[in-house]
Amino acid sequence: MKQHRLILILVFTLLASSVLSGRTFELTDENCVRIAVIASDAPRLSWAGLHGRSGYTTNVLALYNTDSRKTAFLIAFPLDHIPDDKRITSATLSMYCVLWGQDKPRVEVRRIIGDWGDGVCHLYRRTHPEKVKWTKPGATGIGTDRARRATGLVQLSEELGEFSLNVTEDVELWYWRGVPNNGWIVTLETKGEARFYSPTHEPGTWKLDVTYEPR
Amino acid sequence: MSFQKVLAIIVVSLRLVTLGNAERHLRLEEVQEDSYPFITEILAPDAVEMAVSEAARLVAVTHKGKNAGQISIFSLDKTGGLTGTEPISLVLPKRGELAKHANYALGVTFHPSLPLLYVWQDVTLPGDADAGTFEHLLIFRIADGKAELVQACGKGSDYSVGHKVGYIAVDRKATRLFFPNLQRKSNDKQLNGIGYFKLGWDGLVLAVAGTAADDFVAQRETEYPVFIAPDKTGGFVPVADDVIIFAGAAGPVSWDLVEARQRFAMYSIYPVARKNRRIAAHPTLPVVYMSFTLCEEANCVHPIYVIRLKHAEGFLTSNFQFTSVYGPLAPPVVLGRRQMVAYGGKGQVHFISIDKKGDFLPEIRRAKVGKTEITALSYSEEFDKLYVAVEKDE
Repeated sequence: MKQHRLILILVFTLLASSVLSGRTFELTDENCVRIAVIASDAPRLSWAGLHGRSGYTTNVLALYNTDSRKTAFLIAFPLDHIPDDKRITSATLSMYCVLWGQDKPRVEVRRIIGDWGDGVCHLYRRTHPEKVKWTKPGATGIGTDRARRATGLVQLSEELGEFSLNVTEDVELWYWRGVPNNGWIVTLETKGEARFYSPTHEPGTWKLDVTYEPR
Repeated sequence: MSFQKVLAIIVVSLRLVTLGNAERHLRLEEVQEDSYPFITEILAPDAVEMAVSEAARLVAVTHKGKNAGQISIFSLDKTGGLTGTEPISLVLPKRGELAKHANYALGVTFHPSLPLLYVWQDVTLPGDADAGTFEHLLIFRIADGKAELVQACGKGSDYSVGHKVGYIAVDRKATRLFFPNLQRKSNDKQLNGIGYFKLGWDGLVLAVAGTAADDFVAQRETEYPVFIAPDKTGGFVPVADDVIIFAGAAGPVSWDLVEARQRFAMYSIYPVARKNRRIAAHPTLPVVYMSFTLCEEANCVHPIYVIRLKHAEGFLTSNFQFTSVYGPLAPPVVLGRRQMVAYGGKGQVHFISIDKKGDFLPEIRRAKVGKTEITALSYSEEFDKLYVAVEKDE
């Protein structure tokens, strides 16, 4: 009986501490409805993942920044899990790189400004139920399609694997200041190619970890 | 309160406040239903596939086994009920040099507004036989209780033979008929393709498009065998005027018939390399459903995966939703008015509920129909009837 009581006390203590002192949770690409890969040479595709001999596949998420092809990955994590009146203490966006070209490119992450959805592609930020264009194709309009300031840069290094970026400010902006959460646009800032695990083929590899605490 | 109960409450409480990943795999829960008045059973032994024409009020059923060389065509009344008259027993004609070999129907479909039945047929040949003269596409006009062959085309070395599966489809404007089982050798490597015939106002294949050489003009860039595996791909859904979606090796593939730069886009879904890839489109919503199985046998012990994916004018978009169901191997059939996706199973039809947007709901109903594996079923939105081929009048 004494042992039972001890276990109960321990569990209650853990539960209480997690509720009172804040929590960390993780969302992955599997939680996202709005998710896409757009490319300049496939103007209407929402999933222009990897360009092969016969077209595109989504078994790999390939980002290109070349003269003939510019690709962007769009992802919006739903933040409605966070209870009201909390303070975001940290938020980290993670991705898993599996290959890059000759030059190790730099990955740039920015907030998307325009509301986007079904049928999103290089030309349009949505095509259903009606077509709405980006202000500039590829969501390249600075201050109109994507934020003026980059959230951050990720320099891909020698070792392949998971790379992370601090996105606390963005999450705080969406959560507390009421700015619409339209997610991020991920591109290569420098010329080259980089490949990541694909959300459709290797789901769960694009992650957002958020920690919050009582305000 | 016992210690176990207290602990269980704590575990549940912890679960409720834990914000982890959402459950991606939608679990279905059984819902009991007393009757399914919209099901119309059709007596058709050894049925394989079915097509329904609301315009001509006809249902066509293909067969396997000893009846593989024939198609049964049933008449419907103005409410979609069976008229009760004897079905037309259409025996596939044996023509040309290969007349002595067994031919059989792979796929059937109707013209959307004319009383025309398109049949994609195949032939069993010994290894060294030349299939070059075999006509794969037969078009029949159905009138006055008779089926008249009005066109036969699709022959030559560009068509592979001896397949078990082959679906065909006519697009919404009835300007193209899509078909499987093209082949080409390139550097001694076998390449598999799909193609289409252009149709004229009368529903017949336009003469120029009916040549084998022209078939390949339309799909020369499909020379990527991963996309199109014979006997494994499961059909076409012409969801837009210039973009269709077909069942590819690892997921649905959009085929843009106009814009070459984005001609093929495959939505690759884990787990890959599933068999029996079958696809269907919602009749009114921009949504497709595709299923995959791990084995080809009817008694497969693994569940089939069913995904729901949106499209925008034929281009696949957004994230997918998936669930699973045991048993069925037949293609999905979408009951738009009933908000259900149906699968034939052994002695039953499974109905997965969907909402107004086409998303899966966690509900499954099962209607007992016959006793054998149900593979031929088709739904009419106009008549709100699900036609199901059964072995015996039961």
